[in-house]
Amino acid sequence: MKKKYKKLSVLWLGFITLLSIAAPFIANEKPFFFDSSELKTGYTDYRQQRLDGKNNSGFFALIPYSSGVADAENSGPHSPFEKNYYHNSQGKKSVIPLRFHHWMGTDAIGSDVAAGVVFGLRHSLFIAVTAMVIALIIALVMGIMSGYYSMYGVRISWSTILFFVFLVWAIWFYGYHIFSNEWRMFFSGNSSFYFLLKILFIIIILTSIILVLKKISDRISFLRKEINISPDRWITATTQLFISVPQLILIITLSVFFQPSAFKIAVIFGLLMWTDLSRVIRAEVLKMKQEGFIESCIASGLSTSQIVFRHIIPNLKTVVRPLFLFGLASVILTESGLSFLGLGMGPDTVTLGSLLAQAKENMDAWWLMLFPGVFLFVTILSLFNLGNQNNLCGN
Amino acid sequence: MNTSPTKKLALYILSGFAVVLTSFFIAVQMPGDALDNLLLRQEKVSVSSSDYEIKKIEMAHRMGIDKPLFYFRLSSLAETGYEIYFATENKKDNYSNLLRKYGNSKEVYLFARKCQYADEVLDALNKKYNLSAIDKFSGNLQFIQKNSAATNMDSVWTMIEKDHSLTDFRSLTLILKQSWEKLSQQPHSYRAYTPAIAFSADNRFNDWFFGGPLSQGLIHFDLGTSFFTGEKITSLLKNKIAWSLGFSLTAIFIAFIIGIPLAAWIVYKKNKNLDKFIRLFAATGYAMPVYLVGVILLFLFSNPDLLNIFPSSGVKPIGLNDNVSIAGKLWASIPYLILPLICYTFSLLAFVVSTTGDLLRGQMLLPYIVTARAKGLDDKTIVYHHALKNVLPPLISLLANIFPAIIGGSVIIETLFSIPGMGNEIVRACLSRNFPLLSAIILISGFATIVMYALVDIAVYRLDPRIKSSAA
Repeated sequence: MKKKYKKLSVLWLGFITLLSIAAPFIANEKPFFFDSSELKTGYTDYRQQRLDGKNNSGFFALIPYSSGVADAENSGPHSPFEKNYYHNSQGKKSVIPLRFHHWMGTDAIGSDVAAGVVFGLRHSLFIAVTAMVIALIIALVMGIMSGYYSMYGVRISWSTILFFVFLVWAIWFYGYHIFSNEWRMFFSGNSSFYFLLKILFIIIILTSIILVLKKISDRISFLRKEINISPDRWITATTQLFISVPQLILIITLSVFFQPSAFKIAVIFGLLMWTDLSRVIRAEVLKMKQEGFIESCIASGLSTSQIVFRHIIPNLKTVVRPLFLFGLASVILTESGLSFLGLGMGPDTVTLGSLLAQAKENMDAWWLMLFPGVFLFVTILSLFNLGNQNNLCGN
Repeated sequence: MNTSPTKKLALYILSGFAVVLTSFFIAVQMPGDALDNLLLRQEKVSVSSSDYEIKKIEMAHRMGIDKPLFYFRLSSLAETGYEIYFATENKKDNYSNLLRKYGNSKEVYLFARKCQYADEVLDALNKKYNLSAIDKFSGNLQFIQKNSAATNMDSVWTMIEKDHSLTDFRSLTLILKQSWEKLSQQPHSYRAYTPAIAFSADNRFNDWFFGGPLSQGLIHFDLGTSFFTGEKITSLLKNKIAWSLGFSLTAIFIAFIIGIPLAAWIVYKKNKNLDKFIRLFAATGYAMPVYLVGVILLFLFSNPDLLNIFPSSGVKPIGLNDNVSIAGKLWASIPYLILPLICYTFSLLAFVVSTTGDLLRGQMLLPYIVTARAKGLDDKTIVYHHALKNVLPPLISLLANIFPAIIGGSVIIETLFSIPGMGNEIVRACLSRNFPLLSAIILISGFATIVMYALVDIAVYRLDPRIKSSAA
């Protein structure tokens, strides 16, 4: 019984992934190919010509509409059961053939809901996967560091700390601060690369000076004193800082400062979602250290990187997988909530959340609520199902 | 985690400080037209007036926003914070380019100000007469401002002086030239390339925290004024916090009061179908985000076409008499509160029921339950009196984890049902770039979260004797 549900979830997720990868080929208002010489006079558009029955050679996508593109003839939420109209070349209003019907209805400006759902899923999945990959990388670094070095910490001398502080300061100052105008020009695309050479030159000279200074400071006895830094404590504190402001509020605020695009939102999510993962990874690494195989690895002379990459990370798979799936679900939900509030990607990007927000505006348009809602619900349910069953095996 | 109370306290203080800093860095942001708005509203100065830029700078000085941000700042020796006095991005760029070449900040600043003065004179002239010579000179001035850091200026001065059509501008040119000579006689370009730390006790953080021209300061619970309406933010938020907090605490209360006994009852019954139903309920609660639940509820119960039982937005009937007693007010708003409360409670309840059930089932396998059974106790006593007590500490620490999610959910629910709470306000503040309000909300919700964590820690410490003994 349970296996069946699991299989269904995997099938659904695979279906959605395919759908979102192939979205431009599934929902597109342009035909895949047509001979432009065949565009007859009096028509602006191949679809118009096709609708008029003048030409049948073009090959259209499954959903012959793009998301967010207005269809003025069928604007105002338009039910899937209503007839769709178009104006033919004589200016007469006539019914669209079934091939061009809006199967999931239209929204207020007349854009196709089916296309909106397909592209909404595409945005959601892209953001979720990118964000969770970023979060996973951060969490692996943080969690393994704090777990692995939990007991004894790292011994660092004062001269090394000074060296790093000065290096960071120098790189910030000479690499960014005094050339900030040039960097701005560089990113807006109208500047030479000359200043990069300048920066490189200065940084190389400075690094060598600081290295010499470090050599000298290593001789000084009080700078050679070592202190014990525990990454565990620092990382735990950082995690605490990250969870002290509610996540959605932080994301909303950040989305004000960065004009949000899909990638920027994904990065913001990734930078905020790592805390849970890192806590679990830390606990798991601590547990592993007690099992003794890491000690035997150290005893047999493996380097730290070998231990981490060959022995710790493969063993983390079972605890990370459910959390990763839950994380995907939570990013999808939060991102949809963000665009539900109108704070996500710009107003002309159709997402599941923005479709639901339109359903709120037009209470009699059930199709605006039903289709995005069902797609969202089933996706989250299958992610939850997959994550949860892995968890239940452990219990 | 078995950290000692002092370490925990230090962590709380640290995160409180982080929240304050985050809030501060949002509070000092300004939308590009904030000063223009203020000038227009407070002093009735319009953009077209001739001394507009000067008025703007005066205003910025009066408000204290030209001060450095923090007690210290990393910069170069040459930078002394003059760049704040230049209104446009372009002028700032010119200034910093000059600074990088010559490094003597005061002279560079004076020269740049003189250029600006010349600009203003030309603007005033331009409004009176429309001469080609003015255009020509202003073109020259633009060139000087833009390229003074890169080109050889001597040829530029001689060119302007020799031009007969520009004789009227001799004195202006002389002022600029003298200023330029002063600037270029003693260049200290090394200053621009030397990193330095600048300290200043009089800064914006100080003003924001201990009181300054903009507000009484955070320690007097004054969070400044809204840019657009000029209202005090504390008075603006006073009623809204009550709504948000009331809703979320009520939802938590309902979910725990219903959820825990329900879960215990389900564990006690050991009915397979019931278990399955609860698992389904939990999955639904997880997969149905609050906005979906809200839209569905509105669609079902607040739809003129279907059932029009509950009002769709607001918290009280329009035109409710003000001198009704509190109970009367509450009675009148009950229909308005039901849908939002269902929204708040739905996923929370599912979560509490499923988690309590899982925890209880985990407890039922432990040896002390076997002992209780061997003593001859019945299942009811075991579940309700023995297992439930041991489940309480982890359940309460769960509260700390869901509280931030509830605050996040309140943003959506309040926007959906137009409840005049903080969540509604934060969305409005974001859309209108009202940064003081935004920072205040972040401060409040951050502190609410930290206080919640602390309360939960104290409660768990009190309830669980094991933690008490291990910490001591």
